[in-house]
Amino acid sequence: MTGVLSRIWSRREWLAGLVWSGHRLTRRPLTVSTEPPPAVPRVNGGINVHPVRRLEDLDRLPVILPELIDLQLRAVYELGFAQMRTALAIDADGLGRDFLAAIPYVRAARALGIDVLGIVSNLDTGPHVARALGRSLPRARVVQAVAALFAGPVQPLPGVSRAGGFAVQVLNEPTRQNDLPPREYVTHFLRPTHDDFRRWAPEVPIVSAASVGDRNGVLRLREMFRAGLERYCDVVALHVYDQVIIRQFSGLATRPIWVTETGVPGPDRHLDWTTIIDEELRRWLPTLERIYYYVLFDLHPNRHRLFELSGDQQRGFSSRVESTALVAHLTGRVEEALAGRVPAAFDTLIPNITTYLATDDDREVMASADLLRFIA
Amino acid sequence: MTTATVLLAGLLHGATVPAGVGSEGGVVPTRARTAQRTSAPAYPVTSTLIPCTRDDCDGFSLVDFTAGADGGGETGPDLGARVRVLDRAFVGGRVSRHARSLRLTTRRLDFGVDHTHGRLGFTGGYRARRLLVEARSRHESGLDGGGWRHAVDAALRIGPDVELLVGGVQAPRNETGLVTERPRRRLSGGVLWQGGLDLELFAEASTTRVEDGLGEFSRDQVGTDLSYLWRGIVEVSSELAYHRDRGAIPSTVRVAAIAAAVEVLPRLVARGSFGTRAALDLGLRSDESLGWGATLYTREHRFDREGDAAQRTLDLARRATALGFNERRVHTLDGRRALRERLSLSPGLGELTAAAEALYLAQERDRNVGHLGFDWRRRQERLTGSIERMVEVFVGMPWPVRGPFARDEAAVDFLQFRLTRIARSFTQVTRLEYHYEGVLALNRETHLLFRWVDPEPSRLQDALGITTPVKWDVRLDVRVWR
Repeated sequence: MTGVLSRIWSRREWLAGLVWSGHRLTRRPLTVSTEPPPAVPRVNGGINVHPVRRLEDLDRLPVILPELIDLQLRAVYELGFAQMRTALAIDADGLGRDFLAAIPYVRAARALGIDVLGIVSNLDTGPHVARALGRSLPRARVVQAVAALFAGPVQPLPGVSRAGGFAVQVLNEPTRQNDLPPREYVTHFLRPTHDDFRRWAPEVPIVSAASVGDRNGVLRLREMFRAGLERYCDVVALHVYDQVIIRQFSGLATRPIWVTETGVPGPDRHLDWTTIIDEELRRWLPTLERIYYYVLFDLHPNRHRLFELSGDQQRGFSSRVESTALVAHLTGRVEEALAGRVPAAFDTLIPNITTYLATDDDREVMASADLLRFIA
Repeated sequence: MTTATVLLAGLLHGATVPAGVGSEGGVVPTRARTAQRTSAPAYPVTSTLIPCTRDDCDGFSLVDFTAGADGGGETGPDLGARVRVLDRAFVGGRVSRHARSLRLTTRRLDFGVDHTHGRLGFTGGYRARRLLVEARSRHESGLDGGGWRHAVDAALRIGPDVELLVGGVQAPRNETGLVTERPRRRLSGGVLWQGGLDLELFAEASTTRVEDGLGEFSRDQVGTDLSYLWRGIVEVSSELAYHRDRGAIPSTVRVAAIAAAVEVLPRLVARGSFGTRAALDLGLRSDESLGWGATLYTREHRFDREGDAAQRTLDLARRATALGFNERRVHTLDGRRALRERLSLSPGLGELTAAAEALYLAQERDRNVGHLGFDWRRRQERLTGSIERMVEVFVGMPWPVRGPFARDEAAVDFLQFRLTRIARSFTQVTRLEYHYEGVLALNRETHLLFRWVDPEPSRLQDALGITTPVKWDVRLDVRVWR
């Protein structure tokens, strides 16, 4: 290690410490004289949440509209999801706007007691995230930034029994999204990223990327296993969009399995799908731990999403339930778990989502990584 | 007349004997051909460019000579030569940017040593009356775990047309943790049946201990390759194989492929191919390829296993085998040349000298002179999520130079150019690669070759910072008695 690098890393570690000190100060629960009402119980598994920052004009200022974060996290909280999967995106601007947008999503969710799985991935179609994880210098900087910004301890909000944990998934569907062959994904991306996390943030569980959720995906996942996938991750991820493939995954993994995406197009089929798939998955995959439904919101109506978000900056934003049966089912499970108790309202817990936006120190951590120098 | 006498008579008559004369009964029925010319064709350069080739220099004569250079990031020389020594052996050596090699070949023995990409390798072979044994050892790179990888192949001839094949591989265990799939131990057995000129059948079964990232597993394979030439008009090749993996991830794979080439007109050959690879347990075709093409020749076309040269190759190999020199027929330019070279090293086989010379002349008469060609191929690979489309265009200007599309039975290869465009489309980007290849045939034995490969980096290469410089090479090749 050169002296210069040593100084840079020391500075980053120092900054990271400062960031988390700040969080502890700002997230300290209010002192109240009475027992706070309980939080909504986390009884409904996992959900995929895109770190939406704007609905249109993505290049306009402000780059993040907090209302959208508020709407999505409110739904995640009120529907009792225990886990949330979101993208820590490295796009053409490096650790830029999309990465920045993930900060409030992750921190607020964890404070609400929701376990967060952050995917080091991309939202555009560019090569930048693959460059960032495929080369040693930028990879070390990404790992350090992720550890500093997302993986530190979080104070749970009042009424929340524990803060949510944080795990990292290394890329998303790498063959489809990054043109990376399965075997090379394991040897050149997962393995070194796993090793770097073990070095810089050993407490962060590493989740392998899933391949696409059809029979092509089974073929690719087999290849990934044959390349030694399970040596370089703590959790194996699968995507399931085809019921037939579930039994083909059977017997592959010895490590815990998280199904990080599953879903079916058409809101009227969502409820049946989740019920049937849940049973099938548990029947064929004995090490299954988590299932993340796809998706809370995306831009494609009447396909996978539970909600529609609409509006603009002037008029404000609103959400509308699109998958009514599934949302009613999830709400029913929450009410059943509450057994008549009144839970803490989202607005009570998080009256102002902007307190979770990135601070100057966070921005300093991102800037000091200077990722674009290596991947542009 | 016994078969052997007939065969010998045919062989001894050499070039003056029409195709088929002197061969055994099962001659391949081919279409009636135009009369064979016996005069040698004219080439642009008639003199020998390299000394000590045809002329013996004190018992030594040069049979191969290569001088060139290649580049791709860095530039290096490519020099090689092979010498015939005292009618007893061939000794050759080659030095290039990434390899140095030395090889000694006698009638029955073959020994080679090379240092390629930093790895030392040895090869050895012995050709007995009925047995052919080849052994290879190479030191594996550090990434492959180091140590020596040994492989042995043996062919036992049980008839003039039938060989039993056995083989084995032994490689060290990879302790580095970076494991790409590779065989650790392999045993195989098979049979090769070369039924005259029209039919070739190869069948093999093997069991392999394969090492990969999950440790070791067993892979059992059985497969067959079949090639059939029908009346010198249609050549069909097919492959059918099954692989079964037993281990942590059991799977069954079927590989099936068929290719056909048809002489639509005497100077026009059309080709087509289709192949699949299916993961049977997943009910999924993992690979699929489809291709077609056509070539127009300046003179009448011959398949490799058709015509006078093919018949003489068959006769010569059978006769040599009958005399105790185990020879498999290989119907390619290099295969025929190797056969002639080996037989020329046997003092006891003087009777075959004229036949070998006749084969040399027959090859010249049966030469194919390409004029225009086009090939298209599409290959879909579900494992990598890619579709590869290849287009290849070939243009040949024969000697003597005439107008396009002209028929000329006296023509020889002169100038050839081939352009290949390979577009591999992944989900996000398409990677393009262009190949430009040119060959200037100064005469039958002397070629000036030029190749230029211009690849774009794939997303994987881009991500890993691997550059893909233009690769090129220029080479002067002299192959005496080719």
